[in-house]
Amino acid sequence: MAAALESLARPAGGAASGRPAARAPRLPAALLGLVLPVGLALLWELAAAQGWIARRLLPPPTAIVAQLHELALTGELGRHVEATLRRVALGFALGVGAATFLGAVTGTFEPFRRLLDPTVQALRAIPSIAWVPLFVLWFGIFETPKVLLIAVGAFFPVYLALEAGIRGVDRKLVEVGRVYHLGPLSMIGRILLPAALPAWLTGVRGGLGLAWMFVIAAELMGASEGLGYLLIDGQMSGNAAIILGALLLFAVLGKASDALLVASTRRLVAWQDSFKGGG
Amino acid sequence: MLELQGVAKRYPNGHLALDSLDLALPAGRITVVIGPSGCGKSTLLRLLVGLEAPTAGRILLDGEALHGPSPAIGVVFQEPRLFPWLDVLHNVAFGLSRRLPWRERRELALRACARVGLAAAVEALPKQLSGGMAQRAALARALVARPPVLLLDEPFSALDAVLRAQLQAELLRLWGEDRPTLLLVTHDLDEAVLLADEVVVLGGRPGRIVSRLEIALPRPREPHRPAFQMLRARLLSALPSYNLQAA
Repeated sequence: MAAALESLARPAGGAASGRPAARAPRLPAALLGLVLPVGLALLWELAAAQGWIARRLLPPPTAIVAQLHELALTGELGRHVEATLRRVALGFALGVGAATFLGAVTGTFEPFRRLLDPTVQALRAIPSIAWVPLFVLWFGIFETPKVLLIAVGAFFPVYLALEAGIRGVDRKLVEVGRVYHLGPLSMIGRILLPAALPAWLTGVRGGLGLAWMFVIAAELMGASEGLGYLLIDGQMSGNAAIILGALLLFAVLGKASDALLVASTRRLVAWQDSFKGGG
Repeated sequence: MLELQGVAKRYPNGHLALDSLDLALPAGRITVVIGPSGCGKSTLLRLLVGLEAPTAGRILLDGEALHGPSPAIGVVFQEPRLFPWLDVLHNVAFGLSRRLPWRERRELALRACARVGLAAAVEALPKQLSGGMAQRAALARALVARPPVLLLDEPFSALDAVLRAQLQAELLRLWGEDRPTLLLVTHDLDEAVLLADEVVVLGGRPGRIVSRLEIALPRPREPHRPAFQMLRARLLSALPSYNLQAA
């Protein structure tokens, strides 16, 4: 799947040169990424059918899909997915927003970096899950602490990437800005942020991954809906198919959101003159 | 008229790059600064651009002291320094004040691109440009606001000989249109004799003016002519340390 997306994206990045040539390997490359999961699923199904594995502990793919289908029919699945997606989206947006603002400030202005960065780095050293008791104490057990926990998770990779990205901007380009009398805000908006955009996007991708990680932590700490709740529910009722179904949804949703992010931002960094991997 | 009065530059690490330099660039003339590497050529240019502040002395533009970059001064660096995320048109338009409406900036940028022969490449990204095209775009960005002073820091040193000759001729043509005060820093003797009204020879450590040479040859100049070769030889002899460097 990852390989499929890379090849989908490549023609856009390759601009004018060799479009048809880049398009040709698209389908085979897409299929290549599917070989492993599909093969494993078939093998798994076979193993379950032959009785090599205990169906109760490791139900086959068809049983998992049937379980999900059943949940979907009652509308329950949609409710869980929606709750989780809402939390991830809110927390992610909040974390990325705060990190972008703070990273732009500390990356651009050295005094602010000296003032703020040691504190941010120290906070980063706290494992994010460790915030849970405090957030629960402050904000109760409903949506606020969950969204905040996800925001904390998404914050650090974005902050670190943007701060480092801005500090790594070519001095020669910054000098061009100085020659044309750019003020601090124009310098940030017209030179530093565009130049640091690829680094920022890398951080945002990492932040999205962590947002998915922390939504589980948040939902395991007590929720009445969401995919994390579905996990606990499966454990309590001894239904492995529900657990595996939730895991499957995490894999699909996580991958899909990452793909969406990459695809929607590909155009923004098409100007990069980069290697993009060979072979 | 761009003037340096007793300008010195000592870097924070104690290195004295330029020592009490007096130099006047008469309006509408081409002054070429030449010298061995480490003689303070680049420092001189960075002071004039306003990227560095002198530690002593003053820099005056038409009698007014310069503090920092001035819109009256355009600059072309050794590298194109284009913004890789902007196409040629937007890179060139970067040289214009944002107070102008975009339609006007676009119009001026298109015209500047046409002046340097990039009319067909306005939508290209820098990564799609050859070295010569990229430097043309940089030249267009410096020219687009039609500044009365144009500074160039070894602008053609990274190009092959044919391209360099081409761009030198185009620079002269462009200069002939507006006649800006032009200062070009180079380490290329032929370039100096080909372009300059006056050559200023800098000597190193700390940088100071070693000699000045008026080049009164009519343009276009032809490097194979004896008069050209004679001036080139005189310039070479004014650069004693250069013989070692070039060997």
